[in-house]
Amino acid sequence: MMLSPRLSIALFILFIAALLTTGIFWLFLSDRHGFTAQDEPLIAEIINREFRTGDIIFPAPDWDIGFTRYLRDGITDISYTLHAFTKEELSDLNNNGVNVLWFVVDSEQRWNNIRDRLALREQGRFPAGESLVIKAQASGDAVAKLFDFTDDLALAKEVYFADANGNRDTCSWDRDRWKCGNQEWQYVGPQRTLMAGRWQKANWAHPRTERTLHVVFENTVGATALVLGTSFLERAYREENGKPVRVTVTVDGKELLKYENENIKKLYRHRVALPEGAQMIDLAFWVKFDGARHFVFNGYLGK
Amino acid sequence: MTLHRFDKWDWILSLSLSLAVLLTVMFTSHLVGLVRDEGFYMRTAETTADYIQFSLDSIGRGQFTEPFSKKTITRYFEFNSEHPTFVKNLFGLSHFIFHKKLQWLSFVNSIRLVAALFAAATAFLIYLFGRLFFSRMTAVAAPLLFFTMPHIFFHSHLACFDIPILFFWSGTFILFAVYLVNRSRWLAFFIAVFLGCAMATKHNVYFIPPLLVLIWLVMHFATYRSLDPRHKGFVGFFRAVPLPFWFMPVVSLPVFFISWPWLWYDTVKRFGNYLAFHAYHVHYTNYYFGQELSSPPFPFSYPWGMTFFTTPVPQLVCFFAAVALFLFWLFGRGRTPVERHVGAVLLAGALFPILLISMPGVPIFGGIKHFFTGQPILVTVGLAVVLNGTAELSRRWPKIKEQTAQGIVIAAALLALITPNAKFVMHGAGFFNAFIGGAQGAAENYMQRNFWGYDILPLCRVLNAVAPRGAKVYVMSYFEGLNGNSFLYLKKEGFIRNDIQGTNELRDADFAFFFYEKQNENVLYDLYREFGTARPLELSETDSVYFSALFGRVK
Repeated sequence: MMLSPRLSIALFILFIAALLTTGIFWLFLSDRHGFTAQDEPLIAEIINREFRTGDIIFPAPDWDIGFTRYLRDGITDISYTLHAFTKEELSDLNNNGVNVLWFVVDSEQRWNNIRDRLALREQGRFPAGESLVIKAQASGDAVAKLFDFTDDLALAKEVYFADANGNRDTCSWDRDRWKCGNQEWQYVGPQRTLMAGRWQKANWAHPRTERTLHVVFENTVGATALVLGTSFLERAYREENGKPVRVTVTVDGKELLKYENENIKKLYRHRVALPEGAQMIDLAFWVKFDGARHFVFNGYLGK
Repeated sequence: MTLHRFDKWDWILSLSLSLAVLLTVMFTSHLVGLVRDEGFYMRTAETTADYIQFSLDSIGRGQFTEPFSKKTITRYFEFNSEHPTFVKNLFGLSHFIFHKKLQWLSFVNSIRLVAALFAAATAFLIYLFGRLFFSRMTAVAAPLLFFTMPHIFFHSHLACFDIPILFFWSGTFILFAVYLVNRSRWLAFFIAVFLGCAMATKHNVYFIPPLLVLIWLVMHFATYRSLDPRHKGFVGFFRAVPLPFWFMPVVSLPVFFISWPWLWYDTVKRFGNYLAFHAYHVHYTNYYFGQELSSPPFPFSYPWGMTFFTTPVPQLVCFFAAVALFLFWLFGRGRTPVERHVGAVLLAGALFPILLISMPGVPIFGGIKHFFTGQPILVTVGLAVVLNGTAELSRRWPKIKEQTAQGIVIAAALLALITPNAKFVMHGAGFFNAFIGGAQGAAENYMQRNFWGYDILPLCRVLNAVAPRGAKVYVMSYFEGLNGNSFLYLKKEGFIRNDIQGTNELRDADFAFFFYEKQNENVLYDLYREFGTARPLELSETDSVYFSALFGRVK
């Protein structure tokens, strides 16, 4: 009724090996990474001293947030989404070197991996016991930012919804957003959010059924390039029958870029050259049905 | 294939083990927070207890039909009518007796007692299985090994259906295997009653009759030449049909129907609604190696990978050993038809739950509790194989005493499993084994580590200490955190101060619970900005990996 003696003995030996592995692992190895309790206040002390508004902190590993216990109030720009970024996307977070990216790492090895993967330029390092706090800049081939669609949203030339007949509903600037209706979601406004798992600033731009949302910017900065990111938020792409958003970028009446932002977890990022002397840049978003279309865009004009 | 006798000592040992499991689960209940599901089932327990009181009052007044009228049934059984009521009836009965009448147990523990009793029954079942098919040492050690799996121990506490259905799923296959050997008529009848109770617990078991029939058909025709002549031919085919199959439609279905009063009226419509609810069940987002699984098709590897990485390594070796033995029984040379049949039945009982969930379109994810129902079979059989290894060793080297060696191995296993169980007693649903690197390795690989707001008790203690009177706490209900009922019961049980209010609006909150799930990380960012701080008042962690946090508003 039993297996052959040899196989039984082999499985028995395997079981003994499993016992040893389990005993040793859970006693000595299961808590070998992350930030030590001694390092956590040291890390926080450095950040409390060095952090400036607009900076972003990336803890790595992102599952150990013990050091945040010691952070001062007001430091809230902490991102646990580093793993999702490409080096180009990370470059978009740079604000022409004004703000910096902070990396809180539990080992030199981890920092080396992050730096190499994302082509980061180290600007300074602050040891905190066995951990490191690194001040860095992205060094991808980023376009120099001249006009940010989120920071400079108030400067948009106009924001409006248009139907198929060309009838317009104009949005008006109200404190920190373009109000486009009485419903809570009917606005275009900046927020910090997750774009397909990457935490960053973006503009909420919930489209409306069979109407086109236009956000028009004037190129007053002499930009020669445009970077545009769009994506659905979690609630939207988890909606199984959610409709895609059609994105169109028109420059001085000529179509420059057109694509469908599908109802999936994806950051659509495009970088395109602007025609010489480009003046009016019209970002347009259209959807067949607006149920749960939590949609955002960001990007900038640059050189 | 023969079965060992279950004697007086076996009764003593099995009942002692069951009692030990019951007491351990009950005495550690205060360490496990209320999961979201418990909010629904505890409310059902309350309404069922009210129904019992109403029925007693009605009967006392001589109104004997009142408890069974459509109006009464609709009033007391409409809530949560998407699930059968066998276990919920027990929750209600236990709550009625042990909390409302005798006041021996707290509100939560009076309901959780039922889950603990099912855990104890599972210990008995495992003992029975190990003793009948293998040895007393297997029978004693297998329940210990089974309940030192952190996921199993965690779920044993919860007033949910997961441990009851595990008991019924494995029990049906084990009892059917026993029947194949002893052909007892009483057992055949009991299996049908047992299956009826199983159906009245959760729909998982609807797959059992077709599976058993299919296996029997294959075995019948595969071994046709060696069949008893009475079982050959057209009439013989019907004579050969195992007795439990005849009993199932005439016994199991009535048991199912009787146990669920909701079906007594508008039966077809209500049963249809029940089936439709489960056929079109929502998907619960899960993270699996960094992949967000929110809608089908889901990867075939998901339940296999999760089983591989969430089972402690010693028990995992047992799983492989068990499958090896099943295959040997099924395909080994010189095996009898009964052995082959038993091998096939137990293999199906052990692995079908995993296979089913691995189908890409199966419309639900709820973590490993949905496919761990065959693990009692795997642990018991696997352990028997491993212990047989010591028997072989002592045969080769007589200086090694079989019983002593087996005792040392079991003791060593339990010793090795103390640390992971101690570390995960509060976060059992977040346990990952050494192969993936434990909690840290799982977090590094973006595996789902939290589920439905259970990891809350350490946060409650701090909240109670710092919250001003009447403070509001965000409970993350819209994002798979606590549900409203769970919050109320945490207050009722004294875990949260009575004056503290729950809210689902972050902007109204003075405090906030955050239950980490990668798919709900956006809540954390919103919370940071809304409260003006990233500094938690309390973190709940294991091996430096955080599972949940409490925040307080500073602006």
